[in-house]
Amino acid sequence: MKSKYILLTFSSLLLASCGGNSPVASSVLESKQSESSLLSSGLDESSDYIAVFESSNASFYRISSTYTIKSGASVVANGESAKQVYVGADAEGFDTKIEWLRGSKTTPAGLEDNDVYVTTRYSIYHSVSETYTLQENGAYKVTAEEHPNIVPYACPFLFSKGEGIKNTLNRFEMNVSGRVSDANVSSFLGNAISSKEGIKDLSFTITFSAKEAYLKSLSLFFNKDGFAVSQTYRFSSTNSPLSLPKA
Amino acid sequence: MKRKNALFALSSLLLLGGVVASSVSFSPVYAASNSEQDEEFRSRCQSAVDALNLGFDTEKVVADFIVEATGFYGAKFTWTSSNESILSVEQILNENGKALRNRVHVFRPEVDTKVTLTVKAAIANHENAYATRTFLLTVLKAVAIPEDSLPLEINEDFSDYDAGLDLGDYYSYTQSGGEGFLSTIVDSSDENLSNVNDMPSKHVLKVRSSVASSDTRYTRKANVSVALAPKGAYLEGDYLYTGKTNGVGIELLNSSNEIVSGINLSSSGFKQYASGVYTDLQEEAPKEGVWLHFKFLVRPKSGYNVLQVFDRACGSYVTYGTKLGTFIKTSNAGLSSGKKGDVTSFRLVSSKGSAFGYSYLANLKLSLTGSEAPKNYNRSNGIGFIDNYEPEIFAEKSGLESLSSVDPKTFAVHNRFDESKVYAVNSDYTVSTSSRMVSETQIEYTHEFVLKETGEKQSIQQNVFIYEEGDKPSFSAMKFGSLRKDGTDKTSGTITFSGLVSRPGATFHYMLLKKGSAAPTIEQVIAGDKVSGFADAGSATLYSRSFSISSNLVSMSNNYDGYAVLYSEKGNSDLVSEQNISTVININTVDDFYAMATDVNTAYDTFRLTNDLDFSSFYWNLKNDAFEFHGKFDGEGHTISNLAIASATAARVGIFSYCYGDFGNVTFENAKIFGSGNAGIIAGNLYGGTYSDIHVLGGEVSVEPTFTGAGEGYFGAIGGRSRGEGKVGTYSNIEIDDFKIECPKYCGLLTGGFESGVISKLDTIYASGTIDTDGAAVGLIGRNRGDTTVNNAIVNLHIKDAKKEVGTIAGHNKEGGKLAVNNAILDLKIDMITQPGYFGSFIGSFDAASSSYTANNVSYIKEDYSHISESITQDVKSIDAGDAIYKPSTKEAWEQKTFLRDFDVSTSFAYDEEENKPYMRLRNESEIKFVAFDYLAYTENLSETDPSKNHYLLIKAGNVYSYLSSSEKAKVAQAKAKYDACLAAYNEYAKKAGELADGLNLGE
Repeated sequence: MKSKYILLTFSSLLLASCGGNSPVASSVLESKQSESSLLSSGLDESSDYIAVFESSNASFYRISSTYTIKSGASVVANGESAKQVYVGADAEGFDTKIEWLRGSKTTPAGLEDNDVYVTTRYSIYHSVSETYTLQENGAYKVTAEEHPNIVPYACPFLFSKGEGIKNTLNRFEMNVSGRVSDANVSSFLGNAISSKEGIKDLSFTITFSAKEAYLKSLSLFFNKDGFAVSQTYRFSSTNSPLSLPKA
Repeated sequence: MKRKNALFALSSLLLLGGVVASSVSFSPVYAASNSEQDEEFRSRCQSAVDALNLGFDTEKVVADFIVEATGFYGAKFTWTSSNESILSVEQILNENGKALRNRVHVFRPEVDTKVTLTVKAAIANHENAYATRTFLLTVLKAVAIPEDSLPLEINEDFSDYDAGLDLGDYYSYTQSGGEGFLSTIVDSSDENLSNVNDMPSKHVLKVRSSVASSDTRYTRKANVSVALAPKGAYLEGDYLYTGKTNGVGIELLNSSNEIVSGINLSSSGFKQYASGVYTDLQEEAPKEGVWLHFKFLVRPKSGYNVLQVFDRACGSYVTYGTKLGTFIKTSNAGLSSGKKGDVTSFRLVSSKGSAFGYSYLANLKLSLTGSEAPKNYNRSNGIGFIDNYEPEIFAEKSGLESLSSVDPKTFAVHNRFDESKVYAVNSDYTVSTSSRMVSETQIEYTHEFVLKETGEKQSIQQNVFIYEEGDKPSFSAMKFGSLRKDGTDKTSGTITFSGLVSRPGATFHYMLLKKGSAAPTIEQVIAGDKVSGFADAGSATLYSRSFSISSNLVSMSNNYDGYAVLYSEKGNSDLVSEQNISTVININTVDDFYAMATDVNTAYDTFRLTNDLDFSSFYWNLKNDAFEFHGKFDGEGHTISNLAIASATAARVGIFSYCYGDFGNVTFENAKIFGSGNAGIIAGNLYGGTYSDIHVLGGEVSVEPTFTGAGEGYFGAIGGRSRGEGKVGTYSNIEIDDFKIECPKYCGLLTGGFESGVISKLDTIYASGTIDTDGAAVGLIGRNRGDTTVNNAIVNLHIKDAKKEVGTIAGHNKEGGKLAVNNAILDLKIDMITQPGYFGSFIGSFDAASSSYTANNVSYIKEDYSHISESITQDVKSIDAGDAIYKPSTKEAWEQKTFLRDFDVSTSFAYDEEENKPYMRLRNESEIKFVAFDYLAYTENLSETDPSKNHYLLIKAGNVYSYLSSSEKAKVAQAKAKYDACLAAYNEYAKKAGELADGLNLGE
């Protein structure tokens, strides 16, 4: 069925779907009003903010991540990536669910490389039936793959493992920060980071809008293998439709 | 971006030119005493001056000429004249004040005067060890200029002019030609020509063949209009030649200086201008020393032309060429380019080439009708060809005294005006013989014949090769050819054996074995035994000195070792052999190279250059402009010097017209290509192909000087332009230095353009040179309309003049152009530009709607362009991509602040202290002399605590270590241990950081 989709604005939606496991709706029926009903006004306890964060559910979202890896004072690697799910148009103009993964990372080069650092990029679109993969020559390669269960982002963090939670209201923003003991790192991170071994000194900060607790960002700080890592997730609504790239 | 190693795993390397970087020291190559050094350098200077050739007749100097400023071994020449009022030397300098050449101005005196020109050669830092050479020149007196009105009207008779017309000084002629000023090729005929023939009149032009790299031309206005000559007009005259000549051309031009019609008369035959080039009209050569009368009709408006030569035996004209009625029509035969129009000038052309003979023209006349019964200026008697003898003969030593075959009285001497007549010895002619021993086994006889009636002489030579009855046969020369296909059979072919033998009656035996088989014995070769690896054997009895024998058919898929021996009852020769005979064709001479470029039968073959080639005295006869090369050429690191190819009319000019194949591992020194468009050293047009390890040092690709139109454009050092939908061209390790491009439009140091659909991959490019054009689209690549990637490039582009669209990488990037540049340093200097806002350090003109570009790690040198305009506002389409940097002031700054840091700087890029910039030079691997110090300079700065700082140092140290000798490696054992530890730490650090980053990206 060809359906008309609605562009949801940033102010209308709490974006990240943390802890939820509901599949993406087949059409965009989540209205501004229904999303807003999740929110309460005048939150002033950090636990309340987190509760909203963890229980929120949205079908369409964009989440991005940037990170910096330092050795001493030197930045030795960095990267940025994003994941986005939306209803877009396929080649025939019909609505289709699309998940777009894209990112780049810059890491130390081997001695066989020209540059001190090498940057790699990726861009992958998943539609219900196909995958579009960016190749080195700039063109997309299409392969037939079934993706019947394109799902929203599931926030993996187990904030109950946080310690020393503090919240700071800064006029228009609420920052909720805390730390995680080394013993609880693995539980806290869930599947957010693939290799959790050796992570120490983990702390985090979540930034909400002060009013209505719109989640704005989540930052992690930790040490591993002699490197200091800072990573920030940002959440937003998708405010423009996605189209599949030309193959 | 993967780093390119300096050595690129090649036998000839992309290396430095002996420039010692401040942090790198080389072992001294030369350790002789000062006196020995002086003598060595003096000897080099002597070689340099000995090699000088002024290239013209020093007895008859009438016009300015050019002499070199440098020679072999880098010797610098200083020229002085004994009489500056007659010969004045002027240095020609480049923008940096460096002497390029010297122009010698000629001021003709009132009487013929001898002037001495002295050249002194010296090598830098060894000025005391110089050498000199003198040239004695005779400068002819000035000739009064006639004041006849111009243009020349129809029915004007040249014989009205003074005898000894010196066109080089005649005001109504304009001299032109790329090297025309190098030689005086037209002079008066005032010598005794009794040995040739009588002169028909005193009004004779003598034209010496031009041995310069291009034609020399003399142009005179004319007036053959459709109104005046509706049925055309005739240019006729009498022609005679002596010696082998490149010939004289007569070209009729329209108001755009385009050739409407043209002919060429030479010792090899007649040619007609057709399809943009001269094509042969007859195979039979005209007779030497016989006046022939020619009549050349041109109907300019309709483009008809026809050459007629009077056959005196028949009493009528013979017409040459394709005929349409009595005419040759443009569309059929000749002027396929459609050049028509009134004839407003004609020009005499002294054709370039390797021959040194003379052509004579007499009684030139332009008329509406032409002569029907031309006067015969020839005598009735003259020595013609001589036959009935063998030029090379064997003679047994004991029979030398009675050797009848060297008695010239038995030879047949023909009358050249009537070859059926044979003169009688003593009554008609006398003959005398002299001889000299060339060697113990060779006598050269010279027989001189003198015709009694005219006194004219002719000499011929015979060589007698002496043997004794008991001598064993031997090879005086022996060559194994390559494996060639036999007809259309692709699976089998033959190998040709050729050479010279020492005596008659020997039997030549050969054997071919599969490559690597054990060598046979002489007896096995003679017997044709089927030894292990046997492929073929055969024999032939030889009676003449030279021989050429082909093998039986053998498989084309094998490589062979060849063996040959001469057998006789008196014994055998030594066994000669050549290993690894295959389909690869060896190029040993300039003729071999020319054959590669012109022989369609080998256009798909593989060639290798076996030694250096010098084309200084080779005339490249551009037979056609459609030759396709699909094969492979490996220069094996050799150098090709002074290659010169020129044509004002060919559609494509270069070694090949089209190149589809692979070409590389070669250096071109002072290559000069002149054309009207689509001109490049390797080919006028490149259709894909692989071009690697090509070094172009000096030289130029320019418009042919007599070509005056805009033409198609596309001039570049490697190729005029690249074409072909989907064709992939790769260009790696290309060095273009001190190069010059002068063209109407679309000019690139590398190529004039990459066309739509072409995929071009450039890697490790050094290009430095000047471009001078009145047109647009100028850069490393003139026009980019293809998909082009440039990795690792240094481009120093100096614009002498241009109209617009000047970009260091690409003049323009439009119409689907896709340009990606990674790692580049760009330096753009502009002397003049017509549209001063239309240039960019990266792209001169970019169309964002249709095209794209990326620039990664690109730097360009900030330049002050205020001299080209008071206020420069660059067009929005001009692209400056990358980082603007002030030119680094030191080698270290270049290395550290530009992409050069990523290269094996110590071996790939040298540093020019004088110019303060990196450049590239060739150097053999054996010349790289790194020592322990060079290694330590890098390892001592390795950080043992912070691996992230060691990337550059580890690369450099690794480079240097690979060149250290065993003894030098022993000296740095401790540093090597530190290096190894730091290398391990770096690899661990890079691995860990990479893995960490991998886990932080979403959804990867």
